[in-house]
Amino acid sequence: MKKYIQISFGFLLLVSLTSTTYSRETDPKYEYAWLAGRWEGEAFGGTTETIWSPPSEDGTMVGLFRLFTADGSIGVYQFILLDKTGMRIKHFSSDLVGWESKDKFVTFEMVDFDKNRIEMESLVYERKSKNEIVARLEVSRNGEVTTEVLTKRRVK
Amino acid sequence: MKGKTLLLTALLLFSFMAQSTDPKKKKFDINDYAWLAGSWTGDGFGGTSEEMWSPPSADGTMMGVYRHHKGDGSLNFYEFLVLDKDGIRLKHFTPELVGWETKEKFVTFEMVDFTKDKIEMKGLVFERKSDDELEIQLKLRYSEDRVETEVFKMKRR
Repeated sequence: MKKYIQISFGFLLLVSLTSTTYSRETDPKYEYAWLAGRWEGEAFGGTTETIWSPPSEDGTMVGLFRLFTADGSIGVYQFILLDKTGMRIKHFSSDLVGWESKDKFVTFEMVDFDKNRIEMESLVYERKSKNEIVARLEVSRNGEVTTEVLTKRRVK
Repeated sequence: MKGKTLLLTALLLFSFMAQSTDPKKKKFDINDYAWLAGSWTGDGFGGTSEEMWSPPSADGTMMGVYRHHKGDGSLNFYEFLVLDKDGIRLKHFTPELVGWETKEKFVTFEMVDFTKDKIEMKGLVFERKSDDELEIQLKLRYSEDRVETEVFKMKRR
C-alpha cells in the first residue's frame, strides 16, 4: 500500500512537471486575462480605444481607455485596474483633469468570471469570439436604469 | 540701393537658416512616433518596467501607461501619459489607485527637440535603438547639486 502511494505520488509529480509551462495568462485564477491587448469600438456617439496589459504577478491588469467624440476630439480618458475583485476606474478630461478627487475612483465589483465572460455589478464583458467583445453597462439616470451596449473589436 | 537688397537677402537667408535649426519651428508629426505604439518591458529602479502606448490618433496625441514592479515582483506605482507636440504630461498613481498629484495637477516634460528616432524633452528622453529596442533616460533631481540619470532599456513584448 505504502509503495503504491509512493508510486502514484511520483506519477502525479511527473504529470505536473510535464504539463505545459506555467503562464499567468492562462492561469484559471486570472481567467479574465483574455482582455489583454488593444480594442476599438463605438459608444456614446463616438469611437473608443482601449489598451490592456497582461496580468502582473498578483493578477492585476492595467487598462487605458479613450473616447473620441464625433468631431475627433477626446471626450474622456479612463485609467482602469482589473483584478479578481473587479474594476476600478478613474476618469480624466482631455486636459488631464480628474473627474474624481485623487483618492477616489468608480468601482465595479466582480460577480464571476471565466474564459468567456467577466461579470461585474452593472458591467458585463462577454467574449463573442476571440476578437470580439460585447460589453453591457447599466447607466442610471434620475432613478431610471438603461443598458448601454458597447461592441469592441480586437485590433493590432 | 544694391547694398540694401544684398542686406535684405542676407537677412532673409539668415532667418531661413535660423528657422531650420530652431526646434520650435520644426513641424512635429505624431505619426512619426507610431514605432512607440505597442507593449514594452524592461528594467529600472531596481525592478521591472512595463509600458504600453496607443498608436497616434488624428488629434495629434498618443496615450500611454507605465507600471513599475519592485524587485520582488510586487506593484510599485503607475503612470498615465499623454504625448503630443508639447512633450509628455503624466499623472502617477499608487497600486491602490490613489493619485500622487491632486486631480487637476500633472507632471510636464517639455519638448526640447525631436527626430524620427528620438523625442528629447526636458529631463526625459525617448530613443528608438532598433525596431524592438527603446531607451528611456530620466533625470532625477535629488537635491540642488545632485542630479542622476536613470536609464530604462526596454524591449518590445
